[in-house]
Amino acid sequence: MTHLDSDAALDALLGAADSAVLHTLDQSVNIDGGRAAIFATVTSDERLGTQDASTAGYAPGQHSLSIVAEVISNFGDPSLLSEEVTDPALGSADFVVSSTRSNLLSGAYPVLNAQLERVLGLLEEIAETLARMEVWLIDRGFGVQERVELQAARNTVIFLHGGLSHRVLDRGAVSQGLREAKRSLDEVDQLVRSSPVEVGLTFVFIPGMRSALEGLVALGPLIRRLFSTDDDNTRVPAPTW
Amino acid sequence: MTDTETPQTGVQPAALPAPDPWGTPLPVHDTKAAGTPARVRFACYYEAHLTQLIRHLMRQGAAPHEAADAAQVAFTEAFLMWQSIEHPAAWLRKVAFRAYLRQSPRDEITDTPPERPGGPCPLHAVELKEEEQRVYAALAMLPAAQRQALAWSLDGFTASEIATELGTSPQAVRQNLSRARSRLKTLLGLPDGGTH
Repeated sequence: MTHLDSDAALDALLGAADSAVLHTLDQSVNIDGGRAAIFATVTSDERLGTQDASTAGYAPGQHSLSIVAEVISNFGDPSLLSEEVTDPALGSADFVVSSTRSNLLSGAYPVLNAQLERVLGLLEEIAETLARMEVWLIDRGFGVQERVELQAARNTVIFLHGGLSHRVLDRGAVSQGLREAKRSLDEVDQLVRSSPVEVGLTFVFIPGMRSALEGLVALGPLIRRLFSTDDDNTRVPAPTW
Repeated sequence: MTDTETPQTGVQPAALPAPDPWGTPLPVHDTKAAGTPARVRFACYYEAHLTQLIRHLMRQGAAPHEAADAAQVAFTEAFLMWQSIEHPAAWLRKVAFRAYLRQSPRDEITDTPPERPGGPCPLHAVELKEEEQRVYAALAMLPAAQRQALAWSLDGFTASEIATELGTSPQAVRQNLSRARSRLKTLLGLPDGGTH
């Protein structure tokens, strides 16, 4: 065996052992439990007040693209991502939705209560509506500004979906996210209606915008109800299973 | 914690009603923390990288549960300052390795596992197959500096990056890697064609 052969053999041995160990660990580790233990270690005096949480520097509309990108980069199996992605921005967003959906279906996360499922379903529907509207904007030759605002709204919705399904968002953040999404949609609406581009708004844009805005409005009371059973009214309650 | 013990966590399916540790807001010393986005980023990073961090420590001689405990401690420390950590992969490896070194030796543990800052060990029972045990046993027989350089290298860090993180020179890292590979070939019964 030559020097190069033995190097290759060593690499193969190390690689195979490493992969097998990682696979074994993946099967054995309690991700949800370990993560919950970490979050539980943060003591009450380190908490932000609800008011602070809803206002201090949280701006998903501005940061949603980078957040989604980072979430995606750490989310899981890259092969799933490659199947989903066509356009980097659109594809990564799609992946978040499909991942959370598959997690629910596969039982990787505990069964969520009916209220939360309803909220998640509505968020998913809004995201799909906004995706259709984005395609429409692209087809009609609208500029970057309209598409960026629409993407911001959609990514915020997806972010809320992912955060709620993982139960890592508090009420203030959800409310802020809904406001940001609505603000972005209002901006898109204004931009499109004032555009010199001659397009028919009747069949896709207006119904889509109405559906998305109605969905965001409908989420308000659902979110209030979702958090209403919690002691301090700031957290998603533990799911019933 | 024994190898067969089930970790006690706040989200065990049998718990009814379970507390919701997910809802805890971020620490206040992160000024941008309204930070639920940071929480999501941390949660996803934890999910994607915990097992890799455990494996990294196992390469350096830690038993699975020692590695898992140390990784959990490192992630707990990271959570408190997540926004300020520029390179979490390197940061976590360094902190986890220190946590591993600080652990009591396993043979001193009798009935009750020690309290750890990160809570219970997140690992269920782990059984490695014979071939993996053989390779990891060989890794454990390397001198510490060689083992450490190889563990970082297998995680994709370059010699320069390893040198920066470990406070040594790239040349020393390359030398340790070369010697580690040579020694491993011998330990694993592969012919050694000489040092690089």
